[in-house]
Amino acid sequence: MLTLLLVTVAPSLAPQEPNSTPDPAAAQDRPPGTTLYAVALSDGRTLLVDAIDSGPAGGLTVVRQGTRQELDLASLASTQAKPRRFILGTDHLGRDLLSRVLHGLRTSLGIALVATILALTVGTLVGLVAAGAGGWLDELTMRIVDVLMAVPKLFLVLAIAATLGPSRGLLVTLLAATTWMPIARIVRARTVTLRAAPFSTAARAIGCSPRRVLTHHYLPHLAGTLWTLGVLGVGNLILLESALSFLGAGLPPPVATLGGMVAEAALQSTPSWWSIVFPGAAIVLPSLACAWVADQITAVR
Amino acid sequence: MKIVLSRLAGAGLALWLVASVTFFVVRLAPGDPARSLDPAVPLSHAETVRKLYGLDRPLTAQYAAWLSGLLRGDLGWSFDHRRPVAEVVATALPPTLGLAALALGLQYGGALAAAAWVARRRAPLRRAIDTVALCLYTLPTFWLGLLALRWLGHRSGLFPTHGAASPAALGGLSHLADLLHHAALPALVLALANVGLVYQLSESALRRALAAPYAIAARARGLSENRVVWRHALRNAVAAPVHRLGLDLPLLLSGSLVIEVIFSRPGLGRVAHQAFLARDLPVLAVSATAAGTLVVLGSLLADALHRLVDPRVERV
Repeated sequence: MLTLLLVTVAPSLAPQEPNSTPDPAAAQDRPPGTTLYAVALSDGRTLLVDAIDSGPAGGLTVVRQGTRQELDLASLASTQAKPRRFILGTDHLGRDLLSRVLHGLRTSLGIALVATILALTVGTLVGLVAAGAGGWLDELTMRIVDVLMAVPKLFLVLAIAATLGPSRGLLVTLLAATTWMPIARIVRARTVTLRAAPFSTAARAIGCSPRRVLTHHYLPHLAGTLWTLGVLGVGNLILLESALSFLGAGLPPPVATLGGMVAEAALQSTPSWWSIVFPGAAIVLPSLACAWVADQITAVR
Repeated sequence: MKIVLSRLAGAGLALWLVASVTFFVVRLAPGDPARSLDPAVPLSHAETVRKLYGLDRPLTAQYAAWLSGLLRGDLGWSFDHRRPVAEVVATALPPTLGLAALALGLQYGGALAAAAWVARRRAPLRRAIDTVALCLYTLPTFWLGLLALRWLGHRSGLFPTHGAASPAALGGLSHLADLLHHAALPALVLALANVGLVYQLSESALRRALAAPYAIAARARGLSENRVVWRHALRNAVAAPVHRLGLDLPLLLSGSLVIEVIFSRPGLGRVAHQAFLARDLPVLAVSATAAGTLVVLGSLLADALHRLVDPRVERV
């Protein structure tokens, strides 16, 4: 959980702009751990150079893309060069991979969290209502839930996303719309067993309204299950969101999404290993954390 | 007989619901299909497109046309392929079915074999394998697929990197071998990505089976532990993961969509993805329906299989 929280606030730690770089040509496809020096020119441009030395007449001698260049004092805005460290390297457009991974993580986690909360709400409501109503309404709801679960998620999401433009709100709704069904099923099944328990008969016998039985007697018993489902859901939705952005149905570029980064890197003719491995690892770690936490919650209960 | 009939009726109902759900999901989504391809399309042209594809008719009429079309096998015309949708989707089915079958075989075979192997090992090793299973469960399919494609496909050249078969026509057995060679890596990735849950189920079922009285009795008769695990316990443990098979099918097909895109296999998933990129709504609706149909039919099969491996299932 701590990891999750840390990652949510992490973008403030991102060292550089995620979507742009001052000197794309000189910075593209650099391996992890590269340090480049930013030299500000008097015409407003910034060069990223590999090595730097004092040149003739107070200017600078720099090595940029493997060639030596003499920069005289007039063309420089400052003789001070700022070092820039690319801890995870850069992508094919020279953007800092670490910054992009952190921003992508925030996007993924934010979307997954909100969508999970939405799915939990809808799923719990549907499950409670189905179990509470019983009879044909229950039967019908569960049949529809079964069928919705039978259509593979990605096909359904692609079908809906095709008619709509991509946006954060839409993505959240889509993800929630494809994940509330199992929650509704489980909540209904648990509630049906709860309804048969002696304490709920007692509650009804002393004259509690159906609503009170729901909120004061059933929900507290469901809380543990809902926690597990929620944590598991966040992990699964991170995976689903990244799969969607990989397929081009997520947020459009230049927004940094983890799946989109992997897709962009894979499109290059000779992709660098770091531009595929690091965004992928950034998807695995939070979803693994979620699965592990859910596992522990179940084990404790 | 009665069970079979009621199952078939249930499946029929499910199929109808699947077809209806995809229709309404695609048609009721806001946005105008006639203009979504290019917002700059002039209004008069969009009007023609709408008429051409019957989008100007009332929703109920469109729905009726969709259902009767499905029954007759007339699924409309693909905007993008300029071929009947039925043809596009029908040619995409065999590669997907082959991939899914191979992946399922690997997944269940692998999970059960691993569970049987682990059953006789020490607890630390069991826990380690459990962790590996959990990790596999959280690996994104597309990432695993890309890595496999790069290192086992491009880098080493062990496996073909795209397509479902070699372009050159091969006869008989060598054709089958070629198909298998093309499907091997995608199926392996798909199986690995989904094996975690099946393994955990099989492992716990097997552990329960090994603690059961009949396993103790078998040991008491002097049977080797190997025989107890493979012949006695495993047969009973198979039922639990097979019972879940039907529920896992949607996940499998979603995974195969991603895998088909990565390995450029001309299957249902790739057709759906291309249709998505081209905003080809008829193909999208039909491929989603086809995927749902595959799941419904697959669940029927899984149900039959479950009855086969576990005769104790109550007869409804």
